[in-house]
This record gives sequence, structure tokens and C-alpha cells, in this order.
Amino acid sequence: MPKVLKAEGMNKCIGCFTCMLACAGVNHRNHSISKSAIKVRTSGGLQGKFVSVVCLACKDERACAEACPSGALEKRPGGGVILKKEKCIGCRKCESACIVGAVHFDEDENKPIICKHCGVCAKFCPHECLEMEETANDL
Amino acid sequence: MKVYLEVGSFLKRFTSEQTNLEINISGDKTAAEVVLSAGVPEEEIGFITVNGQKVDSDYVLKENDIIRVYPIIVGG
Amino acid sequence: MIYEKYIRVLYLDLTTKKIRIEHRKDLYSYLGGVGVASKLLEENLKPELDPMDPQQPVIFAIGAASTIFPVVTKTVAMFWSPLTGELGESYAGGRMAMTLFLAGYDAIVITGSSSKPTYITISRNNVEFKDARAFWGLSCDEVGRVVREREPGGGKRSIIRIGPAGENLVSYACVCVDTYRHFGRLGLGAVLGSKKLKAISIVGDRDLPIKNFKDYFKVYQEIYNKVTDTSIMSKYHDAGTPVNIEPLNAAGGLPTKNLRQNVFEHGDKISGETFAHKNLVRKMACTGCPVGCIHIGQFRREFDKGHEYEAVSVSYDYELLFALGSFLGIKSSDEVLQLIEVVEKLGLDAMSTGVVLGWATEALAKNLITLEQTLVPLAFGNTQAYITAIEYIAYKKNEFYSILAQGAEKASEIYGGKEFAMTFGKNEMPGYHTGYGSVIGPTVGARHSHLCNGGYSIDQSMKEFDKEKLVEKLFKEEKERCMLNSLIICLFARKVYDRETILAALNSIDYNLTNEDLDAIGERIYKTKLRIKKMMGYDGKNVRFPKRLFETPSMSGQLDEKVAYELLDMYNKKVEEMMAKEDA
Ligand code: SF4
Ligand code: SF4
Ligand code: SF4
Repeated sequence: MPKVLKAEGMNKCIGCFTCMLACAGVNHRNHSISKSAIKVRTSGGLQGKFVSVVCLACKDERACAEACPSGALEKRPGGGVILKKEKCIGCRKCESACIVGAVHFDEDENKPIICKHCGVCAKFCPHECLEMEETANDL
Repeated sequence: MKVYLEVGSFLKRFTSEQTNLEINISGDKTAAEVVLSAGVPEEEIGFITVNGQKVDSDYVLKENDIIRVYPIIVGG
Repeated sequence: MIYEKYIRVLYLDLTTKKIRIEHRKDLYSYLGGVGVASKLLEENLKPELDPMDPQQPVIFAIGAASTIFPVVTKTVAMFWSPLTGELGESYAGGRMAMTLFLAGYDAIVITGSSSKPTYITISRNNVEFKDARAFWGLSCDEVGRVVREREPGGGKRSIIRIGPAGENLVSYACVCVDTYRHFGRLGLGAVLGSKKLKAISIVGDRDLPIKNFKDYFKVYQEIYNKVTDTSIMSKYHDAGTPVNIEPLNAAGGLPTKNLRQNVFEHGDKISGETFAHKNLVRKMACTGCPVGCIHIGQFRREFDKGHEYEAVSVSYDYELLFALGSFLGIKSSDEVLQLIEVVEKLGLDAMSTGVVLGWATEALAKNLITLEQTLVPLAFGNTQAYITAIEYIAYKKNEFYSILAQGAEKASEIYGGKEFAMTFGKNEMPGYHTGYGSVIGPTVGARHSHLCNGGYSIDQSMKEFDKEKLVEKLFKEEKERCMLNSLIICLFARKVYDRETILAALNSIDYNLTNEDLDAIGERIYKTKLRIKKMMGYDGKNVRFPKRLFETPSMSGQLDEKVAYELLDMYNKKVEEMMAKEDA
């Protein structure tokens, strides 16, 4: 069964950004958290709660993929999309189509940053905020 | 003979959350031996008191001694 | 700069509002952090001018391994301390190191002073000096909020700022970093205040490819596993450093009521466990730290009659519970948090504030000072009086509070009571009365902090007291920490970062270092610091110990003043020997 990332334990989050450093490192070979597909933020300054902004792994209909004029976002089995870099023209339509703001944009590469649901962030989260969940293949 | 072991807030994780243990020992046993056999790892022991007095780890226990174990002092 | 053989320094001049960037190859051998900062302080210092002269520099630096390895989280600040009149060195976590790293600067040198209140914004492609006139007078949390609303970059931004105490040049004003972290000690807040610099906002978001991914990630994982598997995780994350209250109190090492006592009869009411039960609401971490030792405690405040309450959250740790707890005889966790909140808002160093008030309380009881001067009846356990007194310090309410705002040493010079002004090298004492290590350590330490060489920790681990061994250990640790602070690891993880681990980490990001190199770096940095101290007029032979240290027994029993001075001599000799040697 395919797996998808679920960020359901964010109430336990300590804001260490390890997930972001790991995602950027493993998936983009980059030290910069701006390359991470998951973004941990505070809602209302540091006195607010930590929240994560990451692909929710939509099933059936994927707004980002629908918005893409060049077919660079293919449906991923179980939810979410796969980015075909060579097809992407960098138009940013997917970015605005995702209503949870989970499509981040890489200004240097001129490509969206798309969560692969690889589970690296979950592996490195020290406080069990993130988990990989098995899910039915919707394709 | 019977001795009592008290474990404070931090170290009780090593004694299945028990803070007050009654322990039967036979023969000469040191305070450190009792603490270790209760499950507190050596590197976590800061110091030990018996009946309120700080003792060396080789202190030999007597009937009804109350042993208390404290964690090491942490910091930068 | 990572993957480059130079240090990238951003120079900011507040007088001319001009900036300059230099790539300093010559600083590369100082690794980063405190090494680079010491060198930059040494060359920019104006020894002939006053410590608070606008021309004096403030240096910030990140380390050689900042952010990209677990628990390597700190930024160092170096300056001329208005409190001790000599070396100012202070560390803060939060997000600052990551943002500087990803903005592309290894170090910042700030000189000059602005004619009007200003704040600075720094990003990878811009630096701006902005109008902060309307922010002048705001508390640390308010100014944080307004800058956060005005400036972009949420999530990858760090905001450092001063409160009213810094503006009013209180000698132990702190700098708040990202709400819960601080450059606490030695008065950096006052130095920024003297430059009319209210805040700095840094955004870091540059593209930074990893050079040798395989090597790097292998080491990263090993360290990550070590950090999360070992007990440092449970120790610092669970109840955190406040667990110290219990063992220190039981062993007679908890400075209480201006160190008139070494045991606090109400210790259990301010213990880590009590805070965890009654006040703890969440935990947080600095960027890149899986441990998360920051404990946030909450108390309820009635702001109006008729059940009008608000919940107030502040961060707490051991040093605060000591300084604003046992040292002032405060008997409940809620009251300690109330004091922390006032100190936070005003932007004071909690440790110095508590220790200064301890002196004032005793001085009042001994009639060295009067109620006309203190305005409030300072007495151990009187939280309300202390809250008011803390405000009076921050605003220098009268002549007495203006003097108190210069530290316990200064106040005792003027009003008497030096025997119980609990300072080491003019810096207020930390919360350990554990033995000779806790006395000599901060006295000889370059910045007079327990963190210089961990003397209290040596007291604890030394089976039998041995003068030679103690001095040797302190000396060795001081040098080792110079090296660790060039990386800059959080010292809570110092056991994880043994030499082997450090070499693996650095070499995976393109350094080419040996164990001997690390030795040499540590010594090179220590020597630089000692040269700076000398320039500032420090002489290790002129320090004194407050008598109280030898009256109240320590965790290792009664201490002897003669022995302390003997140890001091021994240490000074070691320093002289090292300074006479050529650089390795
Ligand atoms: S990017 Fe947004 S729209 Fe696309 S699959 Fe993920 S959550 Fe759904
Ligand atoms: S699942 Fe993989 S791609 Fe998605 S946020 Fe986590 S690490 Fe990044
Ligand atoms: S790794 Fe976990 S605890 Fe740390 S920021 Fe990410 S979600 Fe939060």
C-alpha cells in the first residue's frame, strides 16, 4: 500500500526545524530550509502554536495538477503529485492552485517544491509530530 | 534485613515510576549496590544520602536505612 | 564561510549608515564563532576610549558548523562589558545562527552610534537602517511584535532586540533573541542601547547546495542518533535544567537568600517537578536542535477585579529559578514566573538582577542603605517589592537605583557590604555553590561565567579534592570550550561532541583538520581573549572573592579562603606560562 505523510502530531512540535533541514538535505541536497517541502511556522509569533504547511496528499482530484498547463504534475498513487521537472515551465500556477499553500516555489530553480511523501522528515522528527500512513491507492 | 529507597522525580523513570521502594537485602550491601540493582544506571547517579546524610557509594547499609538517590547536576 | 576558505564579515557603521563586506582569509584559522569574534573584537577595539564610547565595536558571529549539525545552534556576541569593564562574551540560541548562516554572513561588526533610535534589517541581498523612534521605550515582547508585523520573512527570520533596560544603559541589560532566548550576560543590551540600536531583523533564505552529500549526511545521522538516543535528550527535554534544584538543595549547593544559606527550606516549591506539575505548558527548541530544552511556564494574572484573568507565559530554566527564586527566598513557582516576566519585558539579565537584589536586600537589613533609597521594603520572599524594584532598576528611578543598575560590585563599593556582594570578577554569581571549582572557575574564566570552564561540574565529578588536578582541569576545559564555541555547539551537547565527532563533522563539510589542529585552535582563541582582557585593563591578580563564599558551606563542605587564593595563583601561573609560549 502507498504511504502518505500526515502531520497530525503538531501539538507536540518544538519548532526545531529538523524536518525541514532533513527534507532540504535529502531531497534537494541543500542546507537551506527554503528548499524544504514541509514548512514549520508559528501562528502569531513564537508565543503562538507551531503549524506545518505541507502537502495534504489530496486524493482523486488534485488542484495543483489540474492547474498545471504543461502536465508536469502527475498523480501520485495514494495522494499528492509527482513533479516531472523536465516538463515544468515554472509558471507558478500550481502554487496558487493549492489552497493550503503547500506548493512552495524554488526561486533559484524556478520550479515548485513538491512533497514526495518520502518520509524523511518523519524519520527525523524527534517528537513524533509527523507520521507516514498507509493509504489505499486511488489511481 | 529491610532498607528503604527513595527515588526523586527525574530518576524514577529507571524504577518503573516507583518513588518509594522497600527492599530486602541479605548480607552486607552498599548503598550504591542497592541503587544500581533498583535500576538506576551508574552514570545517572549524582550522589546518595542515607538517613539524610550524604554518604560515599561504598557505605554499608544497616537495618531500616533510608537511602535516597539524586541525579547529577546538569547544565552547560 | 562554509565551503570557502574565508570568513565573510559584514561591517555596519551606525554613525555613517554605511556597510561593507569583507572576505577575510586570515580569519579562517580561527574556525568561526568565538575565534573569529575574538579576533574581530581585538582589531576593532579602541582601548584608549571609554567602554561605552560609540566607536566601540559589537561583534556577532556564527560557528563553523552552525545549524547544519544537530544542536549546533548558538551565535556569539563579543563586546566591552559595561558590567565588568572587561571582556564581554555572551551566547544566544533561537533562530539567529540559522538566519545569519542562510543570509550568508559569518560575522557582523557593528560600530558607531545612531543619532536617532534605529533598527537594522539584514538579508542576503540587502541591509537597511530603519527608523525606530516609535519603538523606543517598548518592552522586549512589544518591539518583537511590531518588527514581526512590519518585516517580511516569517519562518526564516530572527529578531533580536533590547528593552527599556538596554535603552537606559543598565549595565546588565540583556538582548532578547526570538522571544525566548537571550544574550543574557554582561550587558550587551546596554551597549546596543548606547548605539541607539533597538532591534535587528535577519532573514536567511539563500540557496546553499551541500558539497559532499554522502559524507555529510552520514555524519549528520550519526550525531542525530547519538543526540536522540542518549540521556541528554531526556534530561534537557523532560523537566530540563530545573531538575538541578532538587540535588543541589539536598547536597547543600543551592545559593539561597544571598548565599546566607546553601539550602532553601522551600526548595521543593520551586523545584523542576513543581514547575512541571503546575506551570509547564510547552517546550521549544532552537533551530536545528532535536532536544528542545526550552521550557515555557504559565501563570495566571488577575488584571482586574471580577475574575478578569490573563494567562502569561515565560520561559524558565535552572539559572532563573536560582536567581529569581532561592536567591531571593521566593517560595512559589507562580511568583518566580512573575519575576521572570518583569525581567523579560524590561530586558534585564535575570541572573544579575536576582543577585543584585540579593545584595540590596541584605544591605537594607544591615542598614547600609535605607528605605528612603530602596523605596520598597526589600525582604527575602517579598515578590511585590522585588517586582517594583526591578522596574526601578530598569528606569534608574533614583540615585540608589542608578547605582544598583551598575551591578552588585559597584553598589557595594559605594554603600559597603562587599563581603556579601556575590560576584566573580564583577559578574554576578551563577547558581552553584558546589566547591572550589564553582569559586575558582568563574573567577578565572575569561568572561567570569560558570560556562567558561564548568567549574561546578568538575566539583561534582572529582572524587577527591586535589588542587593541581582542579586547576589543570579548569585550564583544559577553558581551552576546549574556546574550540567548541568556535563551532558553536550548545554546551548541553558537549558530551556528544567529542573530538572524533567534531573532526568527522568538520571534515565532512570540507575542512581538513586534525586533532592537533583543534588543540591549537582552542589555545589560539584563549590567548586572543586573554590579550583583549589585558587591553581592557584586567589583571588576574587583582580579583577578590566575597567573604560569604567561605562562610556558608558549599556542597563539598566549608571552603577556605586561603586555599581559594592559592588556587587562583596556581591558575594565573598556568596562564602566564601559556602566554609566554609562541603560538603553536
Ligand atoms: S499540492 Fe495541494 S492540491 Fe496538490 S495534492 Fe498537495 S495538497 Fe492537494
Ligand atoms: S515527506 Fe519527504 S518530501 Fe515530503 S516533506 Fe517530508 S521529507 Fe520532504
Ligand atoms: S522535526 Fe518535528 S518537532 Fe521539529 S519542527 Fe519538524 S515537526 Fe516540529
